[in-house]
Amino acid sequence: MLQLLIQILMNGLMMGLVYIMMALGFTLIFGIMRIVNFAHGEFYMLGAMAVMLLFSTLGINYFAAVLLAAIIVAVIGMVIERLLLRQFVGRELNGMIMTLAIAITLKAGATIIFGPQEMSIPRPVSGVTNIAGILIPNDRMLVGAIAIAILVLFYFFLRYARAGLAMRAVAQDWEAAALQGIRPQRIYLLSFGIGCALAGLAGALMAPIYTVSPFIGEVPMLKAFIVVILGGLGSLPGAVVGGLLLGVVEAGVATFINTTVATMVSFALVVVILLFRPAGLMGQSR
Amino acid sequence: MKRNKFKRLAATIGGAVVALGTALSPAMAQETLVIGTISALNGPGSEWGRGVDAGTRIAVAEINAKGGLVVGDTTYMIEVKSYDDGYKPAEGVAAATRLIEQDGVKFILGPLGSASALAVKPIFEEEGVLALMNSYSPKTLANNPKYVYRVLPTTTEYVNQIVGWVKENNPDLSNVAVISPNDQTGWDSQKMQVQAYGDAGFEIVGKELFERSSVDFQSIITRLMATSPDIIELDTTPPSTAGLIIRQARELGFEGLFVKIGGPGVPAIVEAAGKEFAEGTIVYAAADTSAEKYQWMEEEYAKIYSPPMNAFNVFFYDAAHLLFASMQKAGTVTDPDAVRDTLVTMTPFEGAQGALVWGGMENYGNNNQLIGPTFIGMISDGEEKIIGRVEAN
Amino acid sequence: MKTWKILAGLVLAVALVAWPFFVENRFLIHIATMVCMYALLALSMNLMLRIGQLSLAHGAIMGIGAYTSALVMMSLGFPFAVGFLLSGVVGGLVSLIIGPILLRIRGVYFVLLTFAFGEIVLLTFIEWVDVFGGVNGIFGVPRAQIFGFVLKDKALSYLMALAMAAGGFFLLRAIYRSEFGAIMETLEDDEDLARSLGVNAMAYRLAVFVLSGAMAGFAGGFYASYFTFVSPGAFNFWAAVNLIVINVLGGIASPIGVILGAAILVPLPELFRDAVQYQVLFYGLALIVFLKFMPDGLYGLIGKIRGKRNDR
Repeated sequence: MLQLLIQILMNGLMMGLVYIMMALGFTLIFGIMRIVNFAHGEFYMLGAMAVMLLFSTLGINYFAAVLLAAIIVAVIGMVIERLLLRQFVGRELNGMIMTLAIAITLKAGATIIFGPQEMSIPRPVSGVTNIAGILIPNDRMLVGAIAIAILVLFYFFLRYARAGLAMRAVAQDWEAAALQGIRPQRIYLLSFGIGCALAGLAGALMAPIYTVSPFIGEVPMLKAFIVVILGGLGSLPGAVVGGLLLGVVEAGVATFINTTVATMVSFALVVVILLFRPAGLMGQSR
Repeated sequence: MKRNKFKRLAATIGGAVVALGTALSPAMAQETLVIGTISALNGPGSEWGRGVDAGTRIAVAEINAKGGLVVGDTTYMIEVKSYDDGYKPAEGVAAATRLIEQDGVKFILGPLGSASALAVKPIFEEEGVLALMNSYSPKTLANNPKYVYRVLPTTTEYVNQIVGWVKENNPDLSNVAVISPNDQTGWDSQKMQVQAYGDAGFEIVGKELFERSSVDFQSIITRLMATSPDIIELDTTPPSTAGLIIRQARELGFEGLFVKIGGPGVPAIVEAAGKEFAEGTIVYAAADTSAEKYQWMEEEYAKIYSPPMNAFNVFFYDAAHLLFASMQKAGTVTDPDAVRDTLVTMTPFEGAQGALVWGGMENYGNNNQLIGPTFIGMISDGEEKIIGRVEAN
Repeated sequence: MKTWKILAGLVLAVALVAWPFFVENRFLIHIATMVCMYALLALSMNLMLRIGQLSLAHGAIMGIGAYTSALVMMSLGFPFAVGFLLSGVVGGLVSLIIGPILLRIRGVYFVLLTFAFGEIVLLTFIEWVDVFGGVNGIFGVPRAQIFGFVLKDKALSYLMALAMAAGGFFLLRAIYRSEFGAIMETLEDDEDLARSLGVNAMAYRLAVFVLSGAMAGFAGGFYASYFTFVSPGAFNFWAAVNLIVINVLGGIASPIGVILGAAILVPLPELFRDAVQYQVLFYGLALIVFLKFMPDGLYGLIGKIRGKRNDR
């Protein structure tokens, strides 16, 4: 039984790391631009597609391919921000619908280019590591390690880098930041790019573990949605806590009952948290 | 008035597109016969949906290339109107209504998928439009429909034969866990699997349902492993997903046999599972993919949609040919009743991979189910090898 | 001027009612029916947007209406009139029960809360198989019946939908022009002001939510009998999102804008249906173009053009 519990915990934590990457970008974009990015899942999908082209078709080294995929997704995201989203900063309703239209278009475009079928990518590593009866597939372990590295990097970026500090300043108080000489326009571009890059990275990393199709983005987007509510909209530490929480709770309920109930429980959790702590577990109340 | 204007605008533009299409197709003195297809052409599941459309189009192209369909004294060039229903009931109704009202179509192939199929069934029955469709739901053929026929075999049609084969060849295996998608298709087929395995003397130790959009099965597998199954039956799980389950189960230490009675797609299974993990998996094979005819069809498919082709293509290719042959014999392309009355007498009909017959009386109370040969395959070195073939009778 | 307007309105009304009897094409009638159904739904969403509380649960509430009507007719054997009536009543009732809990929360959090609530409702439909038929849904819902007339005829179904949409339209217009409407405005902009005027803001909000829920429920009841098939997939949060899109495209500021939005957005996919593989792409691109160049919706655009003309 203990072994089963640890196995569930490991399964849950691995999923949680991916959720965090999705949720961080989602919450960053919301915190800074006040835009609920419904296209976030499509950037995950684009990351997966990019790694498929680079690694599987062109044969570029896997790690280089993941990095390139993230950059490509970031650039696509920034172009979209510049052309389509900037005018909606702060206009939550219209901004939300614009991201929705972008999501529909990206998905349809990917279907035309890549076809609707699910595709698989060869795995960069295979095999399973057995630690005292707890089985962890090596490819997941690799993803977990990379995800942790990225999260640490991201943390230091926000903490110490000039641009990171500026982003946090804009998120906290847009006008005060502008008075300090920070140009919000640049910060919007940067944070949307980084948010998309994180989603793209998640997609690129998960692509060999799962399958790739134009429609793979919807589930991670919903998960990001839930994680962000759990942790508090706009709260970065909240995304981390929420992601791990969701991963573990889901794995537990799905193992002991079933996956539909697991989803139901996660939404019930969301309702309870919103009602009693509307700002989420880690968010500061307004 | 604005609302009407938009309708008219829609009609005008629609009409213009049709007119343009007609103008561009080679001008011949023959008449044109328009038939319709409804299936998911974009979005999830369209890899199957496109088979409905492409299968029909390949058959039509074949006939048109031979100069058209001769019915009585008239030769018809056949035109296919393809509409996307995205697997959604409301879209299916819109597509069907449009085909029937706007395009004047009396013969339809599709839809594919239970929700859409069940939503449009009453329309076909009320309007008297002949539909050759597919849906895993037994309700498709409930209440003895007069215009609705199913042209794809469902789990009912082949599960017993394959389970029997598994029992015979693996007498020492006893515990079976069934994993199915959590929807109409999965539920119905899972019931049949459980019944068939139970009847054959297996013990069912687990019944699992998962959401179609899932890609992570560690939780389900972790739970299943606790019941120590000998066989994991993957049922109507989509092929790539089945591959993922196979891989994740093997990685979590499952050493038993995988069986997948339901839905074709070995290449996708192998791709997602990896060669060594997929090895030895027993599958229902909708078609013998090594057959010459099948490979020809794959080439034709690539001219319409981007490959890979799904085996569903074959069934609708056959269904379209069966429909056209019935029209010829009935001597009409405008009277669905007459064509239907002929259609049911046309079997055994020589399809792309063997004889097709109408059946289903014992399961549905009518013979509106088209049944063809069933193939049993085994994955060996990453390829599907046909190890058994059961003829329809 | 006034008589001219009334006359134009009369002509429009007659045309809207009479055209299906002259135009034989039932596909157009089907699309028009959908436009009316979505107009009613979008109007119900408009109520929520007016008080600044965007609800993603409206798809689910519509679903509750649809399942209510279907089950009342099929499991309990009541006629259509009862089922249809109850679809709206239950839609409103559910809103009345959850309203006091949900409406305490404002802004984006309300959006997310209603999203989660909607998903829970859907998952209940899916998981509670015995009652709701699970993912299969319910097949063979009886058609609408009025005075013993089975609405098999598409034109009659259209008239029913038209009546519902028109009812919703005039109801909203009357509300927005009344004192109630004026209070609603303050609810969005400045709740403190409303409070200081002695308005029980919560009661007003709840009233709006209940009315909105009832309208969505009625639309659901219509849906069930029109399609004779209900399944959970049709009532997910995308359904609510579509309603928001209609509102934003048409213009939130006026019920006329909402009707315009429905009249454009619902047939839009049909325009592209011949494009088959490219249908969804065109739809998405069209949405982007609309949003980019008409941020205040069609109604706003019309207003702008008019305003400019008046300036000169």
